[in-house]
Amino acid sequence: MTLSPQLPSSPALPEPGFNFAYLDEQTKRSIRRAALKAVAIPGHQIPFSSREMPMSYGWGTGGVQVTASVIGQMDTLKVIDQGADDTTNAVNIRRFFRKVCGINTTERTEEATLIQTRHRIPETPLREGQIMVYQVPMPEPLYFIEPSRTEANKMHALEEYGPVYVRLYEDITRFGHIAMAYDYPVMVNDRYLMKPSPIPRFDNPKLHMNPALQLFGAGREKRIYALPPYTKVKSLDFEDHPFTVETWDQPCEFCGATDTYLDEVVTDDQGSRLWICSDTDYCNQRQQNNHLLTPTLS
Amino acid sequence: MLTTQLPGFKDPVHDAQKTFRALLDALARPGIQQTTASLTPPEGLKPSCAAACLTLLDLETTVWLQPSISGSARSWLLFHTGCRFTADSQTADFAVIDQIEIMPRLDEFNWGTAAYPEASTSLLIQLPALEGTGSAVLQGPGILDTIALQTPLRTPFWQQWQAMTENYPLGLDAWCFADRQVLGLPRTAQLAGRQEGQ
Ligand SMILES: [Zn+2]
Repeated sequence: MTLSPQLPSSPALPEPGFNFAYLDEQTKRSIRRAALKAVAIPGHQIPFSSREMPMSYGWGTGGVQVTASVIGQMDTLKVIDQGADDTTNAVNIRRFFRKVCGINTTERTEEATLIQTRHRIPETPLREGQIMVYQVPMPEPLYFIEPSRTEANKMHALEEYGPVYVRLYEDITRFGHIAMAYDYPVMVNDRYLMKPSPIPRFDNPKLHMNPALQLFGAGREKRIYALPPYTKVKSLDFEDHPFTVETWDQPCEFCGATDTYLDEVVTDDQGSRLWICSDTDYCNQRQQNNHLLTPTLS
Repeated sequence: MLTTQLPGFKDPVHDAQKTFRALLDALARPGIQQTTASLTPPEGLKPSCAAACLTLLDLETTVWLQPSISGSARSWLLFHTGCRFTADSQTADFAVIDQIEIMPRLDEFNWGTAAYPEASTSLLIQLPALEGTGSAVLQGPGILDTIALQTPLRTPFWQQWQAMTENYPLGLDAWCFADRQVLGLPRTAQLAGRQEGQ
């Protein structure tokens, strides 16, 4: 009589025909080497040889390649797009990684070990051990001043960031404030100017001294950069015009939060509109908690 | 048994991933020990250092081995990774060190250039143990406030390290290995204080 072997409990198996996480090992190694340099030189962009992915640019191929090089069998992945887990982009990327890794996925920020994001940082504070991967369309903060990559590299080398301040100050002179609502530039560890990807200004303060490791991947531009945990990140500003974040006059319509980033939603063709949390996981959890609390409050 | 018959990772894909995460966490949290995947290393390599080599090295990388490292380690690395070797520490992407007392000065390795500080040598330093009697206090990215280490690294190393960090972003990143453990020293790790042990 033979005993049938006990299968170890593991997440769903990846589909056959793919290497784990889709990328071949040679490609992962080269991306991993770039990611390690990125962590050692916070905010500095490291070139890497970007691969074709089974999705088009603009769908976060840079972030996807970084995630594919970092992810392991024990990870639990969350994917958000503009704060939501259920948009087409987020669903597709989550499905892709389930298929090629067989890993667990979640919509809850606190359960995730790895979070791939486009355009938001979750409202739930991140913790030590978590890794955020940002999808970056355009990594170079000097591009609007110096389109040549070689020249921009020289400016970074010399810390020649004066022209960026001049440009921002022109905004203040013309509009009375800095008109940049997204992808607002930051200084990292008092040394490198960095674009935080198109997150709203509201999220910039969360970059600073965050306990999680933050990795940024730009597929088309073939760049990786990083913020190690507990790294100083300062949004550019001026003594007479300090950096400020967006605020709203009303709380979230669904959960009542007054300290979150709100999206405007048009509810009918009369132009009625609501303001609701852009972070759907955070908003849902608050609604559940509010519901539980209601009887004791009344 | 021939060195080349010594296996590499039991599970190349997942062991490399696990080891990469240990190396990544080590650099992201300087001073906090991480654990690599396990394997049977050739003579002259610690298990964690051998695992790091299989994870980082390939045909695209140039490696400087401290001359004291055995020929069997060298042929094992060549067989499993296909890496190129160099005798010139200035041209090395990675340098494997097993006798820190007689290693070249830090400025004999490549610190990168102002525009490409990443074009630098990464040091893989093997130590008998990661704990020692010299204390060092580090600060910088990845460290909340400061972190105190009890380490076998001595004054000559820390003097050179401190001089090197004044050239940031130029510089070297290092990992220290003993047994299955690894400790990271990115170039951003600044010496905030130290004391030599007995
Ligand atoms: Zn809400």
